[in-house]
Amino acid sequence: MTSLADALRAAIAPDAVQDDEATLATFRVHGMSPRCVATPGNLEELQAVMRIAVEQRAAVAPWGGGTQQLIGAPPVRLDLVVRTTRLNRVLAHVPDDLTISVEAGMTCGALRDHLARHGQMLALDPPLPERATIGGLIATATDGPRRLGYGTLRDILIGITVVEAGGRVSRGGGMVVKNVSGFDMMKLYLGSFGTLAVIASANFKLLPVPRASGTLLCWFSRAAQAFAALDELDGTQLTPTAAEFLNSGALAALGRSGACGVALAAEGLAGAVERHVTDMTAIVQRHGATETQRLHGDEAAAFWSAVADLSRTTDAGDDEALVKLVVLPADVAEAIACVETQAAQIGAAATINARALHGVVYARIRPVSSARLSALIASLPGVQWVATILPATPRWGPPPAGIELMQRIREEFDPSGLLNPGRFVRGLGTGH
Amino acid sequence: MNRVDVVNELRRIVGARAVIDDEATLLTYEADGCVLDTHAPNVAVLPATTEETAAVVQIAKRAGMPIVPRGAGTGLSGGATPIHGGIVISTARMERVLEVDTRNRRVRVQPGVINWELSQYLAPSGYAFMPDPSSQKACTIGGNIANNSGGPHCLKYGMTTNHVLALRVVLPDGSVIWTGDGRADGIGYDLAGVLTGSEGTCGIITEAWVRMTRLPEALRVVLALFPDIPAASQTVSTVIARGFLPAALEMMDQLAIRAVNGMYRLGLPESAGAALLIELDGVHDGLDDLLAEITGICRDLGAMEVRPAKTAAEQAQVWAARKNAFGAMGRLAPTYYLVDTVVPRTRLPATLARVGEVSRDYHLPIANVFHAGDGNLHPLILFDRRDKGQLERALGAATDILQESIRQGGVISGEHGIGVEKRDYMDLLFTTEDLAAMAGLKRSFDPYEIFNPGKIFPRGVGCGELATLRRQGMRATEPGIGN
Repeated sequence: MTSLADALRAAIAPDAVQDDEATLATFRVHGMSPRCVATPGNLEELQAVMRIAVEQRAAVAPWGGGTQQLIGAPPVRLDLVVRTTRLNRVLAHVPDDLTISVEAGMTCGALRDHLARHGQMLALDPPLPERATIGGLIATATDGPRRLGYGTLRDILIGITVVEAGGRVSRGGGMVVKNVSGFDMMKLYLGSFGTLAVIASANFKLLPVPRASGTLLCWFSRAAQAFAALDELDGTQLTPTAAEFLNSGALAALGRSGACGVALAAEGLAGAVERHVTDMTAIVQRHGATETQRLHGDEAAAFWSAVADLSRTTDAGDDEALVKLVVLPADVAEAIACVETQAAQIGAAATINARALHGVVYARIRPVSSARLSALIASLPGVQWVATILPATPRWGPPPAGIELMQRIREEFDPSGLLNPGRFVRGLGTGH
Repeated sequence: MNRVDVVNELRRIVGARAVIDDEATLLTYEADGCVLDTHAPNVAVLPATTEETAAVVQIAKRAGMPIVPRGAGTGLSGGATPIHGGIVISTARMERVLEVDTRNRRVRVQPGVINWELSQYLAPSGYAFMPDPSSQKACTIGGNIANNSGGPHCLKYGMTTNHVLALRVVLPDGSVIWTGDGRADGIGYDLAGVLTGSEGTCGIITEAWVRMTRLPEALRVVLALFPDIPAASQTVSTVIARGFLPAALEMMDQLAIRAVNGMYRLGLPESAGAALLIELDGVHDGLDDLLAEITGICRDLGAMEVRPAKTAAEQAQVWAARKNAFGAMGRLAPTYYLVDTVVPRTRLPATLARVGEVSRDYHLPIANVFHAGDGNLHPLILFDRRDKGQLERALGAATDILQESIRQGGVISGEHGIGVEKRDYMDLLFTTEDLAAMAGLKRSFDPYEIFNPGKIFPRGVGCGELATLRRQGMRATEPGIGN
C-alpha cells in the first residue's frame, strides 16, 4: 500500500508534504507525533488532502498557528497534521461594505495590519495574534478582553467555508451583515475544535477603528472592592469596551504590583470616551481604589495586548495549567476566591484574569502536579477546559447537556471519526 | 393511530379546550402571514408546559404525524404553514416571563411571550430585549428565536441570535434539554446557536434565557428627506463606509411616504423621493457632534430637508410611521408581496435601481420600506391578488428581485426566513453540497423529519434526499442535482 506521505505527494505539491523526523517533532500534540504533515496551498489541495485522509484512514489534526493545541484531551490517534499556513490570503474585501473574506490560515495580526490600512478592524483581540490564525481562533472560539464592547467571534462571523473529512466542501452564510438564508452553519463550526471539518475560509463583519480610546488601570487592596465597583459600572448606561479583573499574580505578570486591579477601556467618539473615563474614575474611587492610572497610546495598546496574552496556552511548563472557567457574572468573585484558596492549599500560585462582566475567568496554576491538578479541577465551579501538558488530568468540564445529540452531529459530519479523535468533550468523538 | 385516537390522546394530555379539531377554528392555523400556500393541519394543540409539549411530541412520533410549531403566526415565509398537515403546536398558552435576573443580564421566558410586552416589562428597570421586528406588538419570542428575527435596531445590536443565551427545547425524539443556563460560553457544539433560525425544523422551544440590554442614556432621531432613491441610498452607503454605526438607519420611498403620511399626519413633503430615518444612541457626550456629521453627509448628498424629532413623542410618531408602514400599504393596493433580501451595502444604489426597473417591467407599483443600514431590502410589490394575471406578475417580479440580489453578492433572506416561500430559491444561492450539509445537520436532530417537513429545502431534492446523497458520497462537481 502507498504510504500516506506518498499518496499526498502524488496529489498536491510534493514540497507541501513533510515526513522527516525534525518536522514531525515540531507538530506534536500532547507528546504524540504525526506520521506526516501536509500544508495545502489552496482549497483544492486541502480537499485532496482530506480525501486521502479518509482513503488512508489517517487521523487528522487541523493546525493553524499551533497556539491552542494544548486545549483539550490528548488525541487517541494522530497520523496527519493539516496545516493551514499557506491558506493565508484575503479573498474579498470591499472596504466600503465593512465585510471581509479571508482564508483560515491568515494570522490575526496579518489581518489586523491589512485592515489598518483601511482604517478598519476585526473586533477580536485574542492571545498571540501574530501567530494565531483565523481558523484556529474560530475552531477554539477564542476571545479577548474587548468582547465586552464588541462581542465574540459568534457575533462577527457571517460566513464560512469548510472541508469535511473525505474532501467535501460546503459553505454557510454569506458576505452580508444580516442573513437568515438557511441554517446558521457558522455556529456549528465555531468552537467545534476541529471535530467536524477543517475551516478553509471565513467572512466577517468589520468595524472602523475607533476615533478615540481611553484606558484606566485601577488598583484595589481587596477584591471585594473591585467587584463592587464593577457591579456599579454594570448598572450604569456606560458602555465600556473592556473590564478585566486582575489578581496580584496577573498584575505581576503585567509588570505591575498590587493586591488586585481592574483594567477598563472605552472606545469611540472622543467626547464619549472622556465621559467614560471621568465616570469610571469616579466609580472606582467611590469603591476605594487606591490608585488609578490612565494609559495612553502605545502604552495602552501594549498593555491590552499583554492582558490578552495572559490566557495564552502555549509555552506551558511541565508544572502548570491554564484553566478556563465560565460562571454567571454574579458568581465571578466567589469563583475567583475559590481558585485562589484551592490553589494556595496545594502550594500553587494562581494568576487570574477575568472578563468580569461576562463571568469568564482564566486561571494559570503553578507549580502543580497531575494529582493535585485533578483534585483542584474537581473542586472548581464552571470549568470549561484545562490546557496543560501534565498527563492524566481532566481536560474538559462535565459533559454538556445534549451530548447524545452532539454525538449524532459528529457522526453525521465525520462518520469515520478521523477528525481530532479524542480531543473534544468527553463522550464526543473518541474515535472508532 | 388514526386521527380520532390522536385527538383523544391530545385531549387527555392538555385538556379538551386546548385541542382544536373543528374545521372552522382550524382555518386560523392554515397559514401564517404568508398566504401564498395554505394547508389545514389535522389538529392544533396548545400545551401549557414543557412536559405537555414533550408528551404531544411523543404522540406525533407514535402517530407518524408532522409537527409544525407556531408562535403568533406573523411570519412572512410560511414557516408556520402546515403544508403536509399534521399537528400544529401553538405556544400561545406559554406566555409568562418566568425570571428576571438583572444582575446577570438575563431573563427567562416562555416562548409565547410577545416581543413588545417583554421589552415593556423590562423598561421600568432600564433594560430591553433588543430585537424589534416590525411585528413586535404581536410576534412572540419563540417565533423570533425560530426565525432569528431582525428589526431596525439589528444594525447596532445584532439579530435575535446575538441575544439568545440558552434554550429549553423538546427534541424530535421527545426528550427535553436545556442547552445551557445563560452563562457566556458553553462547551460542546453550540446547539442554541444552531437551533436559532432553524425555523422549527429541529425541535420546539419551550423556554429561553435571553439577554437583557441596558437602554441607552440618550437618543437622537432625525428624518432626512431626499429628492430620489439614488441620493438616499448613496447616503446610506456613504454613512456606513465612513464608519458610522447608527442604532438604526431606515429608508422609505415616495410611495411609502404617501401611505404613512395619510395615516400618521407626518406632513412629509410628498415631492420627496425618499426619506431616511436615522437614530443614534449612546451617552449624551459627543452624540450631537456625531449627529451633525451624519446630517452633514445627508446635505452634501442632496438632502432637501433634515428634520430632527426632538421630543420623545415626536420620536415615537416617526417610529410608529416606520413600523406600521406595511399596514399603511392597504391605502395603495389590496395586497402586497414583501420581498426580504440583503445585499452588500455598496450595492444598494444599483439594486434599488434594478427594483425600479422590475416595477416598470411588470407594470406593478413597488414601494420600498427597509433596513437600509444593513443592506436589507424590503420591496413591497403592490397588486390585487383577485386578479390572476397580477398575482403571476407579482411572483415574477419577486423572482427577478431575488435573482438580482444574488447577482449583487447578496442573499435571499435577511430576517424573514426561507420557510415555504423561498425554499425553491435556495439552490440559486447554495450548492447541493452546501444544502446537504444543512440537511445533515437537520437530520441529526430529526432523523424521521417529523418537525416542520417541507420547509427551507427545495422541492424536488428535499432534506431527506439531500441527506441520502450526502451519505452516498456525493461530490461537489456533480452537475444537475436539484435542478
